[in-house]
Amino acid sequence: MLDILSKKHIVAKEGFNRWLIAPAALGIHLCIGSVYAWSLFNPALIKRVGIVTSAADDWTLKSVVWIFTVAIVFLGLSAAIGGKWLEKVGPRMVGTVSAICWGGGFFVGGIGILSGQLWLLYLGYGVIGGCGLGLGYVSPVGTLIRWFPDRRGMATGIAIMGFGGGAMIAKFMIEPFIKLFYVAPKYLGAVTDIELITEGGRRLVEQAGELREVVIVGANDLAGMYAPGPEGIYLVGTGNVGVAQAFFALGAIYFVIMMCAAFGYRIPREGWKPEGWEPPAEDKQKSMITQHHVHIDEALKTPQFYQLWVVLCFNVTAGIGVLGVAKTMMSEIFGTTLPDIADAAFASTYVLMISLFNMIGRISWASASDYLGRKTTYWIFFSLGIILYCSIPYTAQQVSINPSVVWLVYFYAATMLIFTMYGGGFATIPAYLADIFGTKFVGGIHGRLLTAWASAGVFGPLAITSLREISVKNAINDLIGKIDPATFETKFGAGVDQLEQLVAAKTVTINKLMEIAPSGTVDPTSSLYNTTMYLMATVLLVALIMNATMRPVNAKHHMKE
Amino acid sequence: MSISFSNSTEVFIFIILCSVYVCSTLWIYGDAATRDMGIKGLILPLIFVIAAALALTKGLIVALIVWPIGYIAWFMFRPKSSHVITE
Repeated sequence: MLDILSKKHIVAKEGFNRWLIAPAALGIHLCIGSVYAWSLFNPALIKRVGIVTSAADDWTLKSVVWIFTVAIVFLGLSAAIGGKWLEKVGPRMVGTVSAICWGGGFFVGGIGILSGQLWLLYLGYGVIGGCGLGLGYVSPVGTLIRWFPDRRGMATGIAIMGFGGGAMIAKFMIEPFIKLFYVAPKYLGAVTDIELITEGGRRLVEQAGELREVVIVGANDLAGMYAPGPEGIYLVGTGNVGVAQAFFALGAIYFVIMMCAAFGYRIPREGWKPEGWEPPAEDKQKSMITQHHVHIDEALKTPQFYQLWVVLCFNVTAGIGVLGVAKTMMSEIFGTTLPDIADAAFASTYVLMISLFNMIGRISWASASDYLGRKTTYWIFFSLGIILYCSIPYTAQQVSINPSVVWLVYFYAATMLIFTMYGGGFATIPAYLADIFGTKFVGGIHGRLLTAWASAGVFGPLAITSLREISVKNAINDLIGKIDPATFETKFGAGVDQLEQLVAAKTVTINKLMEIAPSGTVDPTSSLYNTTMYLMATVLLVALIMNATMRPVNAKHHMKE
Repeated sequence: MSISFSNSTEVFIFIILCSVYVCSTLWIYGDAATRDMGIKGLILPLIFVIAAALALTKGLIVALIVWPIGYIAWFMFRPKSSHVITE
C-alpha cells in the first residue's frame, strides 16, 4: 500500500510535461500558507464559551496567540529533521504525511476547541500542524529544482509564492466558515429588564430556580459579533461560535487538496535534462553554479551553509521587524498627521497590500535571480534594504514636522519594496542552495536551513517589542525632564518618584505627558521606531557581508564518485 | 523566561549570539552525522541546545562563557575519525 508513495513509483514517464509539477507544488504551499491567517481565528477562539463576547471561562488572547509561534518553530524543526527523510523516500510520501499532519492538526485542534482543552489546540495546530507545515514546505523544492535546472529560481518562486498567497485565500474562507457554523446564543433581554447577580466576578441570572451564567453585550461589543444582534444579556452555554466546525471543514479541504497535490508529484529519471538545455560548463561559469553535489550532512560542515543561514535568518528578521511596526506606524504617525488620507479604510488596504507585495516579490525576485544571479539578487536586497530602512525614520520625522502626502507616498513605496524583498528572500534561497551545493540533496539541505526561519520567528518579535519598550522609556524620561514636577503631580495624582508604577499601570503615557509638556516640545511618537529601523539595517549589513563573501564550496566537501 | 534589554546594542548582541548558538548546534549535528555517532549524535546537540538556552536565560555574559566551553568540549570528546560520503 505504502509502495505507491515511494520514490520509485513516481519516476516520470518519457514525455511528461514538467509544468504539471508547478500546480502540485503551488497547491501544497497555498494550503500550508494559510498559517499566516492564524490571527483571524483569535476573535472566535476567545469567545468559545461566551459566543457574543468573552465569558469567564473563555481563553484569553494571550493564551492563544502563541499557537502561531509554536507552529512556526515546529515548521523549522520538522523541516530540518524531515529533510533527510525527504531525500530517502521522495516528495510524494513527504507530501502525504504533510497532508495528514496539516489536516489532522486542524482536526485535533478542533477537538481541543470543542472540549475546551487548550493543550489539544496547541498539540493539534501548533505541534502536529507545525510538522505538516515544515514537511509540506520542503516537499516540492528539490523536485522543482530537478525539473527546472534551467530556471531554478522561477520554479521555486512559483511554489513559495503559494505560501505567501495562502493567507490571502484563507482570509476568504475562515470568516465565512465561522459565520456558516455560527449559532447565536439565547437572548434574554435588555440589561434594564433583567435582574443580575454577581458571584465570584461572574454575572448570573436566575432561571427556573437555578443560577445561570450570562454575558452582557454593550455598544462596543456589537462590531465584534459574527451575526448582528441586539445589545443586552445572552445566556452562556447556548449557541455555537462555529470555530471548531470551521477547523474541521478547513482541515478536510486542506487534506484533500494536499493529497491530490502530493499524488501529482513526479520526479525526473536519473540524468534527465530539459530538451536543448546543457548545463553551463564549469570553467565558463562566472557565477557559482556547481555541477557537483554536497551531501546533506557534509553541507552542515561548510561555511557556505552558515553564510546562507545568516542571509535567510537576517533577511526574515528584518522583514518581521518592519512588518511588525509598519501597520502601527501607518496608524500612529500618518493616521494622526494626515487623518483625511490615512484613515481606517486606508490602513486596512495597506495591510492587504503587504500580503500582495510579499507574494509578488516571491515570484518576481526568484525569477529575476535566474538572470541576475543569486548573489547579485541578495546584494540588491541588502544594499537597497539598508538604504530604505535608514530612510524610514527620516520620513516619519519629516511628516511630523511638515504633514505632506509626499512622505506618505514614499513610506508606502519603501515599505512595499521591502516586503517584496522579504518574500523574495524566502523564494530565492532554494535556488541559491542548489547553485552552491548541487541539486542532489537540495530539498533536505533547504529543510535544515529553515531553522533560520524558526530562529528569525523568535528574534524579530523579540527585537520589536524590546526596542519599542526601550524607546518609550527613553522618550518618557526625556519628557519628564521638560515637565514641571508640580504640574505632573496635579495631572497624575502622584509625584515623579512614582513614575515607574505610573508607567506600568499605563497612567502615564507619551500622549498624556504631551498634554502637560511646555509648548514647542516635539512629540517623540514619530521617533519611537528609529532604533528598530537602524537595528534592522545593521542586521542587514551583517547579511550583506555574509553574501558578499560567498565563495564556491571547497572541493573536499564534494561527494566522491 | 524573561529577557530584558537596556539598549539596542544588547538586542543586536543577543541576536548574533543566538545565531551563533543555532549554527554551532547544526555544525555539531552535521559533524556527529559524519562520525557515525548514531543516537548520541542526536542527543549531544540537544544537550548543547538546552545548555545554551539555560545560559541565555541567565544573561548574555553567562552565555558568552558557556558557549566556547561547550564547543571546546565537543572538539575534545568527539570521535576522531569521520567517514567519506560517496555517491
